[in-house]
Amino acid sequence: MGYIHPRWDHRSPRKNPNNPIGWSHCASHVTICQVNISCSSGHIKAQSNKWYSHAHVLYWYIVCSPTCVGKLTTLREAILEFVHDGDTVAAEGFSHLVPFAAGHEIIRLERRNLTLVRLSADLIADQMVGMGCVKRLIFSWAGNPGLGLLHRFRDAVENEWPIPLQIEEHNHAGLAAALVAGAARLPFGVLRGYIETDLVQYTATVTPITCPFTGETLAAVRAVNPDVTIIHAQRADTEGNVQLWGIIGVQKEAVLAAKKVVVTVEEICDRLEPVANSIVLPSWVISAVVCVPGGARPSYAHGYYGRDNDFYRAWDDISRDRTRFSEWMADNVLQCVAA
Amino acid sequence: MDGGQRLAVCSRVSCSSEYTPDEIMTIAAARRFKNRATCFVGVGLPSVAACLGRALHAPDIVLVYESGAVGPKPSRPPLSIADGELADTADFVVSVPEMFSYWLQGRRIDMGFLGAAQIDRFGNVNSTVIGDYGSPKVRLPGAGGAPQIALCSGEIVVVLRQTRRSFVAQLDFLTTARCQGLTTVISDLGIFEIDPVTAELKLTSCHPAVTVARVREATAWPLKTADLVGETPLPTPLELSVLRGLNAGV
Repeated sequence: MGYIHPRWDHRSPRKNPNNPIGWSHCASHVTICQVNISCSSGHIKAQSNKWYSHAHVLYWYIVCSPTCVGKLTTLREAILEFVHDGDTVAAEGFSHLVPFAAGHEIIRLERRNLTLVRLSADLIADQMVGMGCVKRLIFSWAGNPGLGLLHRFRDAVENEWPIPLQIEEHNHAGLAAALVAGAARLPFGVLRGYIETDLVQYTATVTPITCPFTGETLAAVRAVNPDVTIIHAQRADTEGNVQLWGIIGVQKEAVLAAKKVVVTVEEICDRLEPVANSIVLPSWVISAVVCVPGGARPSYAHGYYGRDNDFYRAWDDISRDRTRFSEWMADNVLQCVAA
Repeated sequence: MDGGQRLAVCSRVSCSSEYTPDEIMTIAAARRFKNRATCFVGVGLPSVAACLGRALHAPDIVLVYESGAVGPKPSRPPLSIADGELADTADFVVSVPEMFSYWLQGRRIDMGFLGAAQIDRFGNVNSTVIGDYGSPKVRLPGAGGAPQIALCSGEIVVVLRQTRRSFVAQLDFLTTARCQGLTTVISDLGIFEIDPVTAELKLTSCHPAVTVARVREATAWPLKTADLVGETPLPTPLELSVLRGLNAGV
């Protein structure tokens, strides 16, 4: 089951002043469901009293919508549409709600030359790096949580296998500040520390800055604005509003910093019930929502299923050896069908 | 625990048990946790020590994990610092940016416990690479939250296993700069504290059955020692049994 929220934001009427369909003047929330119903009759009546064919409707739907195009109902279609070779892709989730299913779809679709942004780069980053999807990794920690090193990441950095991996390395506070700045559409974030460490020599997006008020030397970190951010959440409503709770990491900032946003969810429900500490991301900042139950496995979805710690332990062995890793990916990811 | 590790055999009448170097290191770290303090704990051994301290003498400790959990009361050490039990048992959960900006940079944290791959005589830490950054021999996980934890916590304790490859004369990479708050380094051989005059680490306590000579041998710089080097109190049967119970639950 899939759900796509085509939003007409304020830019579309200016971009397309002669939009014959005139959806920009309709309710701002147009769901695929409504589009389907309209199209099922074969025609739709536009404000100009002209009749347009199904194909014509879809044409305008595709050309005019700046944030969400086409009839996307599956994870495959969402990734095909919103993740392109060479994109900067943030895949967020701090050991919780890790978007594994979406990452696996990126692997299956053989996306290449990606810049992957992942604060706590763990197994999904290891898999995408090991499968050659990632040209550049922007991260602040890269390991198997609680267990140690990330072997595919190591192999890429140490031996350029399967391809050379460029890295832009931060610490958590620095990359979090970069995403906060990205969400605020500011050019940089600012924080204490950082500049006395060796990272500054290698990470060009960190530089000292003098506070104009106190003269204190601080660190400036260039904002990160991904082309697309992908997250997994507990649920969405039928309008496409997304709710997540538990360990919420840096997802909200990554979403609001991005140009486009793809969200996989455990379930779609009629109404989002309040949950302690939950955050809601409104449909109008999200490009596509896809229902993928279990989409965070082997990480966990708070309130739905627990973390598969045994798999994280097993990954240490699976990922040590190139052949074993490749076979595992072939058997468990490449040959699987997307949600 | 690693089954291959050497066992220290306790020769004293008061203690009938054997313990591993990792166990006494964890217990020595756990003893440093102060009740009611707000303590930032890193993944792995510091997290185990925090759970042990909380179970034994610091029941009202406020644990803080960089994943955003404030005040969790885990029944066992979490494998990852973002395990579900942390969120379930936390006083509240915040986002990562809020954790680092309001709570850490806002200086709301009393103590920080960190792990490391390498440490130098001044307490600078490397957790990024072994070898050259551009073409490393071993690529390690990297900084994570450590630099900010070190910079912004009131007191810092670093916990790591000691060899000449971890207690080094020259770090391969400076990940976390030594900070004002660094007071103590705890290894599997002994306890080191910062000398206020020389700003260097000096050996203040050897773990039972460990000699100063052995600690020197496992240190790649000319190690200074306190005038009187003490002996770390033996692990009590209670400490050991609680620790083993915690580790069995991981």
